[in-house]
Amino acid sequence: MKFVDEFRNAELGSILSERIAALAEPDRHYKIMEVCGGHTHTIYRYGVADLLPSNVELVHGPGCPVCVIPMGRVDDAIAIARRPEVIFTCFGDMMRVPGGSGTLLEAKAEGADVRMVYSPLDALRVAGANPDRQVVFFAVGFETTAPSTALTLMRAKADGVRNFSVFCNHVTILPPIRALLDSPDLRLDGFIGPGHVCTIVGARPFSFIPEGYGKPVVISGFEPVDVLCSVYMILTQLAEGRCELENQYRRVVPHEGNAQAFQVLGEVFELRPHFEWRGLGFISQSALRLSSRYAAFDAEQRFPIAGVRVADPKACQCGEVLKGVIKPWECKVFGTACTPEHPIGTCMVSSEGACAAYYNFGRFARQRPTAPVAAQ
Amino acid sequence: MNAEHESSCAHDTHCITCSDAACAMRLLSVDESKASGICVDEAGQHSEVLLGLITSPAPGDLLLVHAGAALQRLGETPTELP
Repeated sequence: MKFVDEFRNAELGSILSERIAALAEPDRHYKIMEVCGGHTHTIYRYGVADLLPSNVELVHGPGCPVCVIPMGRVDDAIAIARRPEVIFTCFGDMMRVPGGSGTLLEAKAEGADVRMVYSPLDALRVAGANPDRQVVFFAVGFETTAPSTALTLMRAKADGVRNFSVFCNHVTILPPIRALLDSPDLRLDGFIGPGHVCTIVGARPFSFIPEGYGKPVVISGFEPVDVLCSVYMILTQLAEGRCELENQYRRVVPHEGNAQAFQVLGEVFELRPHFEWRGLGFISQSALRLSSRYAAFDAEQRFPIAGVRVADPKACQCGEVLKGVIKPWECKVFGTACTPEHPIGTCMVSSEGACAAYYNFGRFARQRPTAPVAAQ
Repeated sequence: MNAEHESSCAHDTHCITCSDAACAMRLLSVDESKASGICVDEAGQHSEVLLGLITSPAPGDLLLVHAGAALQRLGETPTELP
């Protein structure tokens, strides 16, 4: 497949691995954060970490939208789903995210009408097929997913649909990165930026990382060669004493954002003053809610929402994993009490979550030697 | 990961909820009245895709699609590697 096969090429991967090993100074430890869960998934699925020298460490950031949803919002979703008039729709992984009182999947088993969809448009179709029921879509995701919700709501409004609403939990990626950079317990040498978010917002907004915090950032694609290439570009910047925003994913990502997307998002959404992120706490202007123009489609206005804050289980260390302070396997319950089949924390739910990705693809690889021989 | 959690366009086990899981699809036809079109993925599966973010979409376009919406028209030139 075009744009896929060439970026999974083993020979290219080996060449980049050797070049990275040659660039890395042996007495220096490099910590590079991949912001996006899609990159985390690629790193473990394709064994990218095994192709890096042992002193080049990839730290997994907060870029999995499933993983950052606080338990209280899941409980609110379950409360809506349990209403007899409601058909509650969501993406598959959200059904397994534990709230304080179980999961949507458990609510479904107890009789709630919870249905998995692949897109907001699918949810709107459910509303069309069930005119006597209230259909709610559990909207989760970053700037990549929010336009799909917005376009679907614009169609619903144009078509005069009255039995469709959205429980909006869309979040934005830049505020949590800023929060991480302001965190005193985090030392990072560079960032691998989220490629598909940048198809919407453009690469340019990430320039605050080198300009304000002195860290290189490379916007990256999602194939293993993309990720290796981005690591190489960051190490090259560090070796040359540069600190810049670079775009490895130029085949997809423009420097400026998508003006049509900004228009659509501005029409349908507005920023929330505050939103709670799992493990990161409340972050100002980091999430979206429906604008007053779409108030009729806002599930938070259509149904009573308790909005109770629920503390994470004491044993769960998702917060530290999301901040890159600990590795997944360093969590006290990783792989024992917390597994993909029975997740305690959200990082173990989604395949983009650092814990699930590591559990599924990486936990055996740690037994193998990791440092390739440096190229001469 | 069971099949229930796989995207219809996913060729691996990426989570559809993720902000950054997206796939390439070829646009077959455009319905301007709905601002959408019919796309086909690598596996030959057809689905309706919202086109509101794409300027002048036309049959034959290769699109980056996420959660039922086209995010970007893909170019034909791959990135050069270092």
